[in-house]
Amino acid sequence: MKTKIFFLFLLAAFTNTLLFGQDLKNNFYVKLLGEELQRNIKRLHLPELEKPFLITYHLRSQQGLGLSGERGEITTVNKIPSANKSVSVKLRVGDYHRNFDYMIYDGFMVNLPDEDDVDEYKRLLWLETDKAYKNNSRQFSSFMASLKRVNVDEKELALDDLSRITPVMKDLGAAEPIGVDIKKWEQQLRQLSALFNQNPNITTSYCRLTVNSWEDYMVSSEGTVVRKPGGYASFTAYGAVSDKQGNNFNSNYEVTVKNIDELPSYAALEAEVSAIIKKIEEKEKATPFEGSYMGPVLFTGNAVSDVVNQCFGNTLQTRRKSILGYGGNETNYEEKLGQKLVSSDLSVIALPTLKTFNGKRLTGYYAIDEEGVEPADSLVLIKDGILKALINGRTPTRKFPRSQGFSRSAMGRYYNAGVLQLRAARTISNDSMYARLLRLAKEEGLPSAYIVKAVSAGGGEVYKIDVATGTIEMMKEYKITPLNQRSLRRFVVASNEMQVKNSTNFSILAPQSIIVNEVEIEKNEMTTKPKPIIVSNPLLDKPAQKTTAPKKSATKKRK
Amino acid sequence: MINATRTLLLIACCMIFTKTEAQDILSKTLKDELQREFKQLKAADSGIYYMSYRVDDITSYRVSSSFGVIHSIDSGRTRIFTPSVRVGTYQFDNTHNIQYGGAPGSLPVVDNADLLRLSIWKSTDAAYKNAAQLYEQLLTNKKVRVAEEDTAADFSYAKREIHFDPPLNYASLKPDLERVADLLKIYTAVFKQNPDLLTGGANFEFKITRKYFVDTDGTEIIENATGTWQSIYGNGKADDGMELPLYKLYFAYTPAGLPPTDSVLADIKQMSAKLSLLRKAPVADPFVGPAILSGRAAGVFFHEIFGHRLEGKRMKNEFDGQTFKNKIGTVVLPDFLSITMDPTLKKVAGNEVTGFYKFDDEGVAAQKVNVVEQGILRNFLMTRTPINGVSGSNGHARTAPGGIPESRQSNLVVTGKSDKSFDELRKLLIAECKKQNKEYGYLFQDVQGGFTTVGRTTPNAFNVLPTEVYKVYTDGRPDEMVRGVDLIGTPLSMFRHIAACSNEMETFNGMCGSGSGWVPVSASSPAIFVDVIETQKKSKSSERPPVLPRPDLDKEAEK
Repeated sequence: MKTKIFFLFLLAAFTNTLLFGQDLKNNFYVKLLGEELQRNIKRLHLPELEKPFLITYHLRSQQGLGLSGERGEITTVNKIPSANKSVSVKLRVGDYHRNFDYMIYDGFMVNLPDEDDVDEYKRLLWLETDKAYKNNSRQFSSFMASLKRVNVDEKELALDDLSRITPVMKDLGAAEPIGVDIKKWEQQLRQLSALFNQNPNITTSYCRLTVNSWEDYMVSSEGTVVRKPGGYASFTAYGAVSDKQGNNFNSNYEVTVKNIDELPSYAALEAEVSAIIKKIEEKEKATPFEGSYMGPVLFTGNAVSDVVNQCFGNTLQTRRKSILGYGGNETNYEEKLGQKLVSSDLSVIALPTLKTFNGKRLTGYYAIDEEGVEPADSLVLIKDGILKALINGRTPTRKFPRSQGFSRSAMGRYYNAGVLQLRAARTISNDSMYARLLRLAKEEGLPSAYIVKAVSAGGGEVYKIDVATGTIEMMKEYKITPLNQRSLRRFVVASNEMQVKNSTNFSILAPQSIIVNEVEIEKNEMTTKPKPIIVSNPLLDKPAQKTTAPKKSATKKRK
Repeated sequence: MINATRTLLLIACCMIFTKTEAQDILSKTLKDELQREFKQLKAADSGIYYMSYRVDDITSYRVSSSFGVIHSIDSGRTRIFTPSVRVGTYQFDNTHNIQYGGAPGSLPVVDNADLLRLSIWKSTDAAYKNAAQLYEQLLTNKKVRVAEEDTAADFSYAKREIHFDPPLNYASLKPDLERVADLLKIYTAVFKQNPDLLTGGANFEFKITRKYFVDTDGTEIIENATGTWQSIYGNGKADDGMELPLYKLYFAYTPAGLPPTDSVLADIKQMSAKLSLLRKAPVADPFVGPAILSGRAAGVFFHEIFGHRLEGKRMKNEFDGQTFKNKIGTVVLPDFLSITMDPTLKKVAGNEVTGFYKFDDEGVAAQKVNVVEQGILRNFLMTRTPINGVSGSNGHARTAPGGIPESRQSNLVVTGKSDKSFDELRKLLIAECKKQNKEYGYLFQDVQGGFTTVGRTTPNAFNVLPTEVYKVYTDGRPDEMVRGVDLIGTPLSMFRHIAACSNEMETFNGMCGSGSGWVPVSASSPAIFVDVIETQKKSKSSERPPVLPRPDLDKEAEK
């Protein structure tokens, strides 16, 4: 009986897959992409030129809406969602071994008509594919010709230019509706942006909502057929003031989630906007940094994900050197495999198929990459400080001949882990981090230590703690030496609480805070600053009030 | 019942008043802020002597279609703000012989004075700082350079203008985009029937502009304008790779003024047929000999080779060829030709023309300028920047939104004293060919535009870009369509060869791109007979036509 049930289950699952596949093949876009692709792969050929051996079409159908509020007004003109469809053609001549895929420029996405029409879509695909064939043939022969004048390392030449894959046929679903209650959000953005009105010195401010939802189609001559949804919603608030010396102080709040319903509540957003207004005011009044500092620093909140992104976001990936010799100055991480990169208390893991973390949906999640490869659930990049692996796509390198499924762009070669996690072996409670920082500073005989809450240019947030008294003050006019992997060799401890930072197609999972030693902070010596605006702030100089001219001494007489 | 009617009337009045008031908020804010900024800036820098603000508030509706399919329907509204600050004196200021240093910005499309003032305040500061810096540099340049030939001032006084067009009722002006889309689909479906075409489409754009101008001399202008541009285009490719584009533009002040459907369909069918003919047409060899330029071709010819050389500000520029400098009162064209530049015209010979405006971009009333009377040069196109011998603007300071105005053309109208029909011109052409022992002469029936060089470092040549050219044989053979030919020459020698004109006027509406950006212009002219013209081969693509047949015509794929 059990066997029968299991068999029925298998049969049902198999039938489901077949039906699924059949449904996908009959999908309007998949069908027309497939038909035009077949026509081209079979017959597109110019005499005495190589035939294309690979054609891939990517089509994106996207809906989006952006709403912006400033000082209580909605400044967006078009308050209805926009729809856009675009397509790209990747075509290669030669064969898997020699096609120079990693050096070829494929151009741009091309817009498709709003109206679904098979003939018109095929006509545009036809013209783009024809163009791609001619461009590709030119580039291919030009690179082949280059081999006549340069000596390329034989091991490099022995590598394939494009790795083979097992084609997949998967329907991961349609785009989620963008689901914006426009009236509600207009009202919220009005109210939130009006919060800035309380401080007339803030002369630049806005609150913005951006929502995008799309479905991507990929059809290739290798047999890959994929439909997958994507999208995100984000809210940003920003404010800035300029002082009389020309210094600019700004602060922002940004949150990105998978779906608009997951954005924080209005009350929470209001609290965040109020907080950045307060922060701007504090930054203006903050104490100028003097001298220089080298010692322990507590990075917390967004500053941690900024550090993770800075150190690992675009680094732990394979690079294939161009046979033309450019790009030779980039770090070759393949040579560092097995070496210690960061503190042995730290590990870095790619988790591309992780959908949620602590109940939050991750924007970086994906099941199939843009080259039709399904990534493993997890790839350990750094284990206990040692470099173990790198992310890659279909461009083979000596130590990574197969794709691990990290290609994230339909055009060009852009790798991204999707979800990247920084794990620390040495952790304490978040509440103890502050005490640990002070203890470290004391041990090193430092009079003060620093807390960094944000590291972004202009919007950074740094606090100095007096070791003796525990007094905390916000600093301005500082410069933090950018952290790199070597800096993380001086990792001390991390909080045992984890945080999620989503951006449009990347999520970082990292401890809530970390302490790194030997971080350098110095005075930001600005020899040139923009002159402040000469005329008085119009918000402080209403027509009803008397116009104040600048002091006489400031008057410049011309001869 | 009466009460209810009164209430409704009251509500209606309130709504109208609110709308009217809303449009006036911008006007009032511009005026108030200009006064405030001028007062404070002048107190800070006594060298500031003039300021103006210009706003182009543009609402546009667009529809595009190709091969019977709607590509996009969209609309938008933008406000482009252009502050102008003059530092120095009327005789010598920061604009001296330069065409840069502006600081355009955008204004939010809201009726909130505070938001508007903030944007105006920031852009004005940038404009002042640019002006002050440039003025210092120009003062030094003046000291190190020899005295300039043109000693006229950089700016002149102009009559104070007060003009307010009524507030716009945007709702009533909104075109029926669905109807437009339906029409464009019908139009472009005709192109699809032609297997020779790679593309065939139509675009529609309706623009509503409300232009604001205020200056420190007390001028206050609000001018409304509307314009509808509908174009049809088709593109083929000859076997030798030559791109064969044909394009036709319809202009009307409102969509209702566009030609009727039947007339556009007839044009499309004719264009489609011509494109097929062009594919097979022979490529013309370079030629020197007699030719007829149709009214449209002649209009572009005069715009390029004559109109641009009448732009007054060029006479100050010592890098300019200054073809007609010091030529006022002398013969420059045959005595049967006169030319006016008239921005006050909305129609020429029954055709609506695009070069109409009430006030130019320096706030000066548009004026008809008789530039050539019976072959004698009488005037230049002037802005508020005088030139030696000609002072005062004649309302031809024009720019694309956000640019710095310079002397530009408006509606160019060539009138000829002639009672000759087009057929009589043909007879003249054939007679002249025979006289010159030529087998044929040329008829330039239509053009896509042209360009000219007016500097001193390169030959002062022009290039008119014909799209429809015929060989007219002397032996009675039918006219033969040819392709790949451009009409070239140098202006002064060309003028001497204009031998006759017809008695029928044709109009070319288009956009002219020059130093201050794209502005709408028109050129109306009778057909002209020139006893010697010169042609050269048109540059062409060497790309083969698409390898595969158009998908909808691919019989093999159908099998």
